[in-house]
Amino acid sequence: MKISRTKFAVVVFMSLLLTSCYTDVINSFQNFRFQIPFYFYLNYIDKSIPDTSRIFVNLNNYDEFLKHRDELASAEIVQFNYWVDSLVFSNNVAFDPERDSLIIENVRFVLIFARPKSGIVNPKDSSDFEEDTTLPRFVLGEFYNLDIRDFYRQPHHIKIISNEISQVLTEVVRSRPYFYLSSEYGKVLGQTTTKKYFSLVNVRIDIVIRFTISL
Amino acid sequence: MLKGKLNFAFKTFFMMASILTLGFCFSYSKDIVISRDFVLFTSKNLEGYIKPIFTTLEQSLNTTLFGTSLPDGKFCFILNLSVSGMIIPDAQKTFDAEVPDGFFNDSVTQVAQIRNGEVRRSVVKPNIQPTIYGRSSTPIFSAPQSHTYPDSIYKTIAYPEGLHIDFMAGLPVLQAIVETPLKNEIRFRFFSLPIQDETFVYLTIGLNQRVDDWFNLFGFDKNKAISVHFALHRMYYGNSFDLTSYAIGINAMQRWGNTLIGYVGLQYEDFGGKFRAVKDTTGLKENVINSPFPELRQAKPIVISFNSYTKFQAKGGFTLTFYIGFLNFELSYASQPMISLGFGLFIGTKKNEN
Repeated sequence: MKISRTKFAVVVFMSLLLTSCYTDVINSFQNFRFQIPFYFYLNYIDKSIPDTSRIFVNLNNYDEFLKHRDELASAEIVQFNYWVDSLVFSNNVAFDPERDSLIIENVRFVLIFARPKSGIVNPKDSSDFEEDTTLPRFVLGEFYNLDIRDFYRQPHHIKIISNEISQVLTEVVRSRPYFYLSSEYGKVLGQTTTKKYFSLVNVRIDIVIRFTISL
Repeated sequence: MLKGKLNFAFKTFFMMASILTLGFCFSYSKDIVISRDFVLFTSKNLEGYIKPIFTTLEQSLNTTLFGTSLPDGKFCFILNLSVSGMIIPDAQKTFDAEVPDGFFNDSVTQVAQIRNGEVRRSVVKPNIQPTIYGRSSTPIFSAPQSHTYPDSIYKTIAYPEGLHIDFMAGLPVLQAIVETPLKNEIRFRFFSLPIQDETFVYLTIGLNQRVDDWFNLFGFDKNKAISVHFALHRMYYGNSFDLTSYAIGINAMQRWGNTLIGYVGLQYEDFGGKFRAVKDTTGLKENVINSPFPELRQAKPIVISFNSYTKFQAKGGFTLTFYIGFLNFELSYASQPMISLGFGLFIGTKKNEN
């Protein structure tokens, strides 16, 4: 029985196509991607502004990161969010969004990568780390004339993080999953004194990170 | 004559049903136990996430049920392998994901998310999130209005992402086909694999019965046939995984010369089953899972019903028959349009020996 060249070509083409499809599918299933929110609670007592403060973040302290750390192929910051949970003025009166108006000229959040201090092999807490000056700082979010009423327990100020930051995080996070979140507060609008004091400020930052793990 | 053939068909069907009933009755008592830390999915969200892949599975199970040869009353035993691939439509790349109840109550929590580049300050229904074939997911930010329990549990949530799949390979089908003198084909598939303390079992039994001659539509024509087909599939793994699918349909075939067969067919199919896994609740009271979903917080079992988007398939294809076997090419219109390619090997008597 003779098979025509056309029939043979069709069969070979289909075989290759389906084989390559199986290969593509297997490749697709080798990675699994998911997003996880990380919650950061910045609680200050007797906070004064203008001021810059930072918190240290060690992703190794987060179960979701630890569970997947060994299979981690990439990590990207996807979105960033900031709001004020509680604020008490220096006269111990709580901020009331219906009554009070408070505008801060500028607020900026910066991601600063960290590294263990020289000579520390097994870093344990934040005092064992320092800023990694070999990597650039990245601005996660910047707000001007920030009206506290609009940020008071309101999560709609969502910042989408650029690919540039995500790529750096991907490269760094597997070996050094440590960073600082720096908060820079400017003056209150109309502030005439050098410092304005608050008895209590509770701030929330939620960062959503996309992890890709190799199965 | 017609009565005798019907009797045989009923006996064959009864035998198939008995075998499958035995399979259905065979059950185990052990549950799959998974870590309580598995908090990526609630049962409902996992069900929606994987529904399209079970559609792919259903379609690939219900392929190659006819069309491989024209039932002409000659005894023949064939070993058949076929592979398939499905085009995944956009509609199956997303699903309406579950949202924590408290997210709908502004006095409990304020929520926000970005949809199509715009910030939305409420839960968007449907809450479109990717299925396993889809793309990126959308997190929902949540700011609880009180810092004490229970409001404080309504925190920001995020969802798993899809695998960016536009074309999915189906499950390869390896089956034995027996053509009998009663102008029918009986198909068998069986696979068994011990996994840990349990055994995964897959079995299929199918019948493609030529019926045109029962009603004397063409006399007994060796080059054309109308048949009805039926198949039942069953997969199970202990007490945790149980899947059943069936297909029933009608097909028509035309043979040209000694080599080429063309065919078309229509079939209705359905798919169902369940997966159940319990979570390890050791230390549940001391180490609380902090999730706005009660199911995850309380470490309830994962219980999923398997569903499929596909109920009907329209199929068309051709088969090239050679001395030792055949090649088969088929296109199917279904919720996931499908292409399949198969080959068969005649064991013993050659099909086109005249």
